[in-house]
Amino acid sequence: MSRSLLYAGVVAFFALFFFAPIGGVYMEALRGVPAGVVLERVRSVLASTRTMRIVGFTTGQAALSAAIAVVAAMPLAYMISHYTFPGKRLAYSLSLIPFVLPSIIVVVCMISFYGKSGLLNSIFGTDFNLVYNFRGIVLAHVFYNFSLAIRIISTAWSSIDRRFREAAESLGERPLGLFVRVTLPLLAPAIVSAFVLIFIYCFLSFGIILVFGGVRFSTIEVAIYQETYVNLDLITAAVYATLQLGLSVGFLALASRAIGRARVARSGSECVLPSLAAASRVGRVFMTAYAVAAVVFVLGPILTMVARALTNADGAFSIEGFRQLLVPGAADRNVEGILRSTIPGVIWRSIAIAAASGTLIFLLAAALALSLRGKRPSSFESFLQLPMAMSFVTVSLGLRFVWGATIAPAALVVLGQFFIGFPLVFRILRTGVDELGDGLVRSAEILGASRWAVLRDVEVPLLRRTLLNGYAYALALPFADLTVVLAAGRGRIATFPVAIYRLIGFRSFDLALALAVIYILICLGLFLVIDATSMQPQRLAVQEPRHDTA
Amino acid sequence: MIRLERLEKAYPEFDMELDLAVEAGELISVLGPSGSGKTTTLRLIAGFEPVDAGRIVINGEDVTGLPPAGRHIGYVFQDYTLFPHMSVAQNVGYGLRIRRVEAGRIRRRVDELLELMDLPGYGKRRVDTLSGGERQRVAIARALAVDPVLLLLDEPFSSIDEVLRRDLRREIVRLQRELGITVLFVTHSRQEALSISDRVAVLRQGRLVQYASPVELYRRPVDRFVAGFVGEMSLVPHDGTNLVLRPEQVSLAPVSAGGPADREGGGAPGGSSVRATVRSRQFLGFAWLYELDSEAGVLLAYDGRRYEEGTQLIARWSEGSRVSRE
Repeated sequence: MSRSLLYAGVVAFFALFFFAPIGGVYMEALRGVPAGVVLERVRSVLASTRTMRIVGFTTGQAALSAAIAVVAAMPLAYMISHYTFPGKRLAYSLSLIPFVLPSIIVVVCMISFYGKSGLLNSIFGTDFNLVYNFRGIVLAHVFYNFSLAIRIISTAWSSIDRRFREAAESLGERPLGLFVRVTLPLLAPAIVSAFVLIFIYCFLSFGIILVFGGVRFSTIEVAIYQETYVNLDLITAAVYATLQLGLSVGFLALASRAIGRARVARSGSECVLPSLAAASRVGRVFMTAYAVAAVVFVLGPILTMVARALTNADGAFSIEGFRQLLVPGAADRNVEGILRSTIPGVIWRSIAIAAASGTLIFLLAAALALSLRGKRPSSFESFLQLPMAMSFVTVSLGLRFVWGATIAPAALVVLGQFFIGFPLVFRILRTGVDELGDGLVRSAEILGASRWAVLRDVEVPLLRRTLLNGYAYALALPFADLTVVLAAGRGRIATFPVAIYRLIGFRSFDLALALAVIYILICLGLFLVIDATSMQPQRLAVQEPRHDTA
Repeated sequence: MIRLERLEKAYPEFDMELDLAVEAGELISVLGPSGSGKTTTLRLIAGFEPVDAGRIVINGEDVTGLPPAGRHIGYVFQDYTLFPHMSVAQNVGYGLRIRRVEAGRIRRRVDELLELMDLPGYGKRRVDTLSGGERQRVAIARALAVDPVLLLLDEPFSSIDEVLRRDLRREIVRLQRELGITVLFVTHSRQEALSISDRVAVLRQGRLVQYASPVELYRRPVDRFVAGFVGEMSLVPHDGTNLVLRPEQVSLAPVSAGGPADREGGGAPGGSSVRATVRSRQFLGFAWLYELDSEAGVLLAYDGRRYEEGTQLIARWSEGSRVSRE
């Protein structure tokens, strides 16, 4: 009863704030235009070489970025799932930072590190241009999604039963054959799902392309934005939005078939991982070098940006940028005019909006994940994943068309951001809840525990880590959002990414850097708090006892 | 044929030290409670874990330092561990494919093995469509495909229901006789160990406590632990040591028909009779198992007749085995 009420509520929520806005955009585009004209326009847009080029580029760069991220993640995923080493847990937590950075900060990081006057070129005395071109786009996308690939693949790799390896070895299998004939097929679902997730993120990429693509490269999402806000051609925008939705839903459907067909092999017993020192000498050297390179790849751009925020034009240490931002009256230009807000206002508003969106996302995702425990994935769940495939420029615009007159801009932003974070957070919680299994909850129920008591005494304590992890994403994704705030907030709402975007627009790069550093520090604080609270030995209680020692 | 020489392995809360010799073509059970080191023994022989000290010699060759792939051993896991991404035939033929055997020959060998395991026509089936018993037979076929010198079975039937388990046990014995291979079989079920083995190695806390034929183990256990572990027993004091009495060695008779209730010497060591009172009983089908209080201590006895609790009886035994060690 209460369960069907929940499902009905979710469907109604999606209908009102997701489908109705999309419909609103179509209505707006078609208003007053004769059907014959519309059809002719649709035909000409679809047949144009520009459309071909945009679709080709969008698909190609997404496939390349996802492939590189996945392949580059494999050695690290192996290392993480097979060995312990000093700093592993910290590195694992910190590696997620790029994923929750606003694209505008990623752009700034990439320019600081790989740009013409960036750190790499000044170290090697070279003049490579690795930004503002195709390479720059792919590099930024790999930087963005690398750690996601590591996480998905290493989790799957640790869950492959070590006895498969032993069974193969006892039949005479050597390491290379083991990898090709056993490990790779067993890992395939994880590899495919990492690839698809990253592919979709890059397919819908907006901010990075907007800055690095120039006039040459445009994703479908950027084209939608340009048609909507620059060319004011809503029909073309609507055609592109439909095309984008159709393609990304198609990819997701293909992927879920591929993943569904593969059979998952879960480990029955947790085993203690050996230290990296136990690996062969060649393996140890290779893995250490690779890990160092990965750390440089992920942290290099971020640290370079931080370093640049702390230096002045002469290259000397300076906190001038921070002083101008944070000390009232210290700025040598009209910061409040540029931002159309005060700095405390930006900080307060960013946190308040992210907290509201994040809590909404988390509560709904958790309620759904708990109520779907033990059920097979259904079409209802594919329906819940739909926002992942949709253009947020379109959804935000539609929210304004349909709800702009009745709902305040800040609330519209929260509603729009809900759909950015929900699919991923739901996925994380769903997986975690399902791993806990049914047995413990049923046992508590048999002992007479009410639904609330089960939640309080069994699910929350045992799922603590999953829940915190989900909540972190629920907070971080809206915190990093630029699209929805810009498009649904009607320019009235300035959060961190908007403020940085505006500072760059007014050539105040120094202040943009300082603000980006403050943003990263806040994210870092959030992650460290979650990391510190999530290490609980309680998870061990879920493991089944083993029959024999060792 | 297989010799474990002063094999040592230490874990934080467990250590083992083992000498064991197995003749070619023998079926040996490794029996012991949880944590006795049964599985560890098998994993050391297979090479899944490195030994701390000692040697493993198979057919005169020292394999202690070899990787598992170099040992020519078949290993069957408790929960089958069939590759989920391969069909039944691909699983069985896997070891041959590694050895680059020609495809036609692999196919013939797989068919032959499936026939042998009573699974004809199963080749194309997906692993997750099989029952537990079928999976375990596929796992055994996979291990046998490469003609191993030694087959290691790690509690292979513990996830399979009782009736099927009995069939599979017979199957193992039949295979072992037909193919003449050497088998090491880990179990915590005494019934399993006693019914199929040529010899049983009883482990306790990483040490070999007794290594003998099933009959010897049952009739002449070296200590109270082995005695209790391999079967029901009662313990009566005798000549300063303890006497192990199996329930079938104690016979019961009504007091009226039994004559004097005081002890009288029997033929074999410790033969005696004593007055006893029925404390409780369990129906086993072929008989009742009685638990009786007597001046010699608590006694266990089988009897086909039905006695109520509290009935006074005469318990008699004419043989038993001494255990000196506690």
